[in-house]
Amino acid sequence: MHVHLEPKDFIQALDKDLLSGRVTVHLKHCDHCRETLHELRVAKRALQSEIGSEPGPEDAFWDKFRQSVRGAIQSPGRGFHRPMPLMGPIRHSLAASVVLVLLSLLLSGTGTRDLPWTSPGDLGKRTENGKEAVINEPLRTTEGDSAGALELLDTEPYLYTEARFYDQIRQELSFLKLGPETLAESDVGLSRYVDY
Amino acid sequence: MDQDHEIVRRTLRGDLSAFDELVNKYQRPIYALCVHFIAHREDGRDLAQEVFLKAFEGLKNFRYQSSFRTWLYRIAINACINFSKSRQREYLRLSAARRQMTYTFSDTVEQAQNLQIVQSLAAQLPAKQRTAIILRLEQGLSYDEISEITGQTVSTVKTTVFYGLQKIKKLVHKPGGMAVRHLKHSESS
Repeated sequence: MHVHLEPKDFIQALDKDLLSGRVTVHLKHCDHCRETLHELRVAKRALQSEIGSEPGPEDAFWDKFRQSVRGAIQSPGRGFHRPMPLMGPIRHSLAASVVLVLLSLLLSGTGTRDLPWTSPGDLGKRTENGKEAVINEPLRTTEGDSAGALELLDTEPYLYTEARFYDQIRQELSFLKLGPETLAESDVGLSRYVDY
Repeated sequence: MDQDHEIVRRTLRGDLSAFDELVNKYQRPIYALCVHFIAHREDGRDLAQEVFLKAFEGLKNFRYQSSFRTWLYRIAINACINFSKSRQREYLRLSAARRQMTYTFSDTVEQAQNLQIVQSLAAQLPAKQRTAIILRLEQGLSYDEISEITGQTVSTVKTTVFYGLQKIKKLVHKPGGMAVRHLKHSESS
């Protein structure tokens, strides 16, 4: 069985003008391989002439090219300004941690009750229709000088105390008319708003 | 290549003009590689710029174990292959337009210029063969360098070039094909 040259032999033959003895001898006696090598040389020439025939961009193009690359590198979010890939997940984790801490503070109820400037006298009271009402729920008082706290209460445009919290809830739910004297009258209307 | 390593170090120290030197040195071959690989001048130019950006952003990961040139070519080849994949549909449309122009019209060059299409023989090959052929015959890289860039053995690269040339041979011999006209023109001149 006649064994032809291998691809690597052809590649060697393409690259070098001087062929090894084995390849030269084989090509001398094998028409098939000689033809193949000739066609490969034609293909190679076609490729290279194609490249050579194509006019390259002018010098101005390369200046612009370089400037574009430099501009892109210096633009925010790219190049050295680009955030490290790991920073994304870390940022998300940090944000999630902060949210969790805030939520736990809110749910434990320490966020508003322990404000040092909240007046103990104000905590258990709220004002409704000009009358002072007392909330039955026992409230924790805070440390500090209560007189000073009252002063602050007067000057602050809004101090978020527990009493005001209940006021706010009551105002927001006032349309439900949940008071004991009006509940019976609005039984029918209630179902319109509270629809679970 | 140590000279490139030194320029890389200067760039990493914050000297952007050092990176300009690298761009200046490699912009032509990288541009040619991209344009011939994806067979489109405008996209090739954008892609070449993207290659330099990626290189700049990846410089901190450069280990100085290979030459900067090989490393840059690896980035370029990956970018070209990814681009070809992402734009496959559009690329096929452009290829169809190119084929139509190649075998139907006589004013192919003008039309190709209008569409920014490069009439590249290599662009008609599958990605692996295209890579090997372009790197070897258009860029003049050694088989060792191509092996380092593609992660294939030298022997495999040689075989790939061989079969790529076989395919080009068929394209060249295709009746009425651009390649034949091109070759005849180059032989007569």
